[in-house]
Amino acid sequence: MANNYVSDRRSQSIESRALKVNTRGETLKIIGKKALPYGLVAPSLVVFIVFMIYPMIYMIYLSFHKWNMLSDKTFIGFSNYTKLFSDPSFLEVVMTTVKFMVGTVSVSVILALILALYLKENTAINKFLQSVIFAPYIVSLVSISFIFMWMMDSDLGLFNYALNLLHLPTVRWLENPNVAIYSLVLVNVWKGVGYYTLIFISAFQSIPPYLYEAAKLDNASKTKTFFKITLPMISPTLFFITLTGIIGGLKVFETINIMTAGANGTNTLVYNLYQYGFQFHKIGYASAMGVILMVIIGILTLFYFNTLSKRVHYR
Amino acid sequence: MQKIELISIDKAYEVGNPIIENLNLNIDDGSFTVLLGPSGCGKSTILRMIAGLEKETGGEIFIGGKTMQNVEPGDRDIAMVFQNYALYPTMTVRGNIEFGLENNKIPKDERNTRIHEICDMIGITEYLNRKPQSLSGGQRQRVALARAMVKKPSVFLMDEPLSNLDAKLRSQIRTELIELYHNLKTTFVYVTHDQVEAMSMGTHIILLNKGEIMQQGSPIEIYNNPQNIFTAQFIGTPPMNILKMSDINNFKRVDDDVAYVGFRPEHVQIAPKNLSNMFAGSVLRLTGKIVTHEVLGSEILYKVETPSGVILLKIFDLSQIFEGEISVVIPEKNLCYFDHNENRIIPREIADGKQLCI
Amino acid sequence: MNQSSKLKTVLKWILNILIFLIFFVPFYWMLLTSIKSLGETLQFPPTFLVKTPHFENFKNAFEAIPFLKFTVNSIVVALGTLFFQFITVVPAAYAYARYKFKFKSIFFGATLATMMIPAQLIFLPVFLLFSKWGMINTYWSLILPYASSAFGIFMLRQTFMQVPEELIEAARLDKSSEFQIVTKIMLPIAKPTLVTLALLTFIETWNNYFWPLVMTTNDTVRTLPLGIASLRMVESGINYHTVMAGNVILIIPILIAYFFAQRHIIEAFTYMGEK
Repeated sequence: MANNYVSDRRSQSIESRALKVNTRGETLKIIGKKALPYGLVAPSLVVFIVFMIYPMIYMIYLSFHKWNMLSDKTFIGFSNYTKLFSDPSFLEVVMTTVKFMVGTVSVSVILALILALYLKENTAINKFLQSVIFAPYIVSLVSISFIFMWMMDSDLGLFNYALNLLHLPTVRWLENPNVAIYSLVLVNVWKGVGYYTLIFISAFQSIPPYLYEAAKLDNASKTKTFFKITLPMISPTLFFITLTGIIGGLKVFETINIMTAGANGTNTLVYNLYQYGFQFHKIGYASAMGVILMVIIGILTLFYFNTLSKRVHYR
Repeated sequence: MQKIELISIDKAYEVGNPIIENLNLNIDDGSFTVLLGPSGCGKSTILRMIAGLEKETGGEIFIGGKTMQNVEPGDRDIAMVFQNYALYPTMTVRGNIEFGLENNKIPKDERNTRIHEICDMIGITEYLNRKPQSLSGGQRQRVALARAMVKKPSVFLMDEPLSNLDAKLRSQIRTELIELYHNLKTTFVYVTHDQVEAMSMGTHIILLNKGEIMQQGSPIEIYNNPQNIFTAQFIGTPPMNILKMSDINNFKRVDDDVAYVGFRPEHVQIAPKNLSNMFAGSVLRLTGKIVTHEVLGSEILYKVETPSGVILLKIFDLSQIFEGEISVVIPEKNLCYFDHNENRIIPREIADGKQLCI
Repeated sequence: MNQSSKLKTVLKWILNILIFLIFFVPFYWMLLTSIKSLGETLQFPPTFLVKTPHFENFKNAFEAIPFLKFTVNSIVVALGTLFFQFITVVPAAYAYARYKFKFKSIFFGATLATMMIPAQLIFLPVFLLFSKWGMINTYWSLILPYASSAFGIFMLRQTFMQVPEELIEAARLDKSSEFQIVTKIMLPIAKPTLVTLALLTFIETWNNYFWPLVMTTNDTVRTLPLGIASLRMVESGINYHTVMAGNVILIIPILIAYFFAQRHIIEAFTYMGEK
């Protein structure tokens, strides 16, 4: 009896469900539910595709053409690339970029590590200094460039005044081709070092204190503790900072544009690309430079994620 | 007040790996039904299917005789209390309680009356304007209860609501819940893995294991009359002692269907080894050596090694602590017999009115 | 206190002051120059105090360039970017956090990958795109490329994922629609993250020099940083007192924001590095 009742209800329910699935409203509702997530992510994807992904593809296409924006595009195959690689001034640009990148990243990272070690304790004065050294990071690079350009003025600048006081020979900070690029490195280090420092500090603070206690019990020296515990523990952070630093160095524009306009041995890849695209209107040639830049960034990024996924996680 | 019926319910999270198959379940109108079982037995899933938070793979659920197919959780006339309370952190206590009422388009005046009525009853009026984060665990628990009660649902669903509280608060709120149930006379469905909670609060216990009902009934019935070894061991602390029939030689010949015999630790008597004959009548006698004892206050727990296996004894005689070799005596009426499938059986001899023990 | 620890304290304070000066002096120099007269800027050795402040430098800066227009443009672009990012980032982050759907990981992966593409790489094709559409020198060319933020989606998704499932279930039992769950439960919980992201976007848009530079050919929609940069070309040589006055105006909103919401801002900028 009870069993009959159950199976009766069951078949009923199956029938009613079959009926319901077939009604139009239900079907629409189900489709709506399925489509909802796509609708939600679509606006952002459209932005990324139209303004990020498509332009890259278009740039690759343009790099095989000769075009000055007035005449028609002509397909010239790999000519732009062969021309680029045989152009000594382009190779100089690449070298300048490398100098700038390596200079900025190495000095920033080492300085930031030292500052972070010095400021890692959460005392009031340290917190104050942390926010002071971070401040330049959020200030427009245009402003910072002007300030430093003014301080680096050969005749009236604060820097040379300071050298005078110390009875040292003055430097033509932005005019001397052997110095100018390093002056720009200095500006970028000054702007970015606070950012790196704060990231290092939070990495230091996330190392569990019992590791240090254990090291103390094992009679480890301070240097040994740093190299055997601190450094390995923050290696993911160090790695991240180095990569962002390199890409950040690759794309730097404002400092060069405002302080030297690419003169005196400060012409980097991005600035060169800007000049060829916007001043000389050699769109194909500039695009080929862009593609090279893209490949470099792509390799760096792949390398980063590859290493990241292989790395042992300590935490 | 509504009864709940689950008809031929299937539930599978992945195809081919069902966790519940063809489950039929009735929850009586106005009962305090406890879904009890170890973790992974499907009890929470059943509750969530009743709430409509989880969609059943097959079968159908009826609340108050109405099918719940395609009825949204908010329209089922139910309220639920979650294990971690699930209070909205950005709203005040009042906001939390009022949210459901607003969504149900209840007029402002009535909302206020209801909120005050419930909060006075539960004793959280003074916290109405605080945020949940500033409340203690017990206070949060009460807010969660108030949020459920204010909707005046016909069914209360509770998913382990006490498990995040410390022991003292737990027993306090347990008492309050029982009172609440008697005042509201509404259907309660309560999920827990704690048999003490189930026994103390439920009017009806449904014991589940691996998606199947092992036994259901009133707490007394489930305790006195376990239908299988799982039930016998899940209910009661310490669990029922189960010995293999083949390991015991104190029985007369029993029919072959009987594979296990069990008895509750509290249903035994203990005596020094040489005095075991002082117990008259038909009893099961075991001898063994005490391994450990734990004094628990009102009782003493002994762990005893016998030739038939290790058993636990719960002795309420605190006048002495036994040590060494002892005799254990269990009256025959307190013995439970189980077959090879671990289901309860009544041996033919007992049905015939014979005594089994030597 | 013994001798060596005393020395240590002194050294520590010297070092603290040195660090402070290194990062403070350039800003001080900017402020000082902004109220110097032309004559004072041409003095060598330079003066470190100003007797009579020349506030007319600010007036000069205002008059030398269409300052008000640049400011309005900066605000329009910043608010427009914030608006578009809000309506594209919130739904996407919610979908990536709470729904399962086909291609989800591909979409999300592609989104994250765009974080690695700097504006300096793709400005040329994007410029060509906008000029084809006749949208150069419009706000659209400055706002649309920044109308969504991969970083914002990533960070907000993280926040949404931390909201316990039971909270959403409780809301469903309280008869909330999906839309209400987002507006009444998720967004209030995510408010600190949203504030942080908004600050980040505002600061980046406000400071952005490169993009407005390459997307504009006249002053119609140019923003403040371009205006400041154009101050140097007013006369022969650079009038640093005027440029610094402009600089002060450009920096002040950022420094005020930094003063009040330091914690949020630092968190926003260092979020990626701390993962």
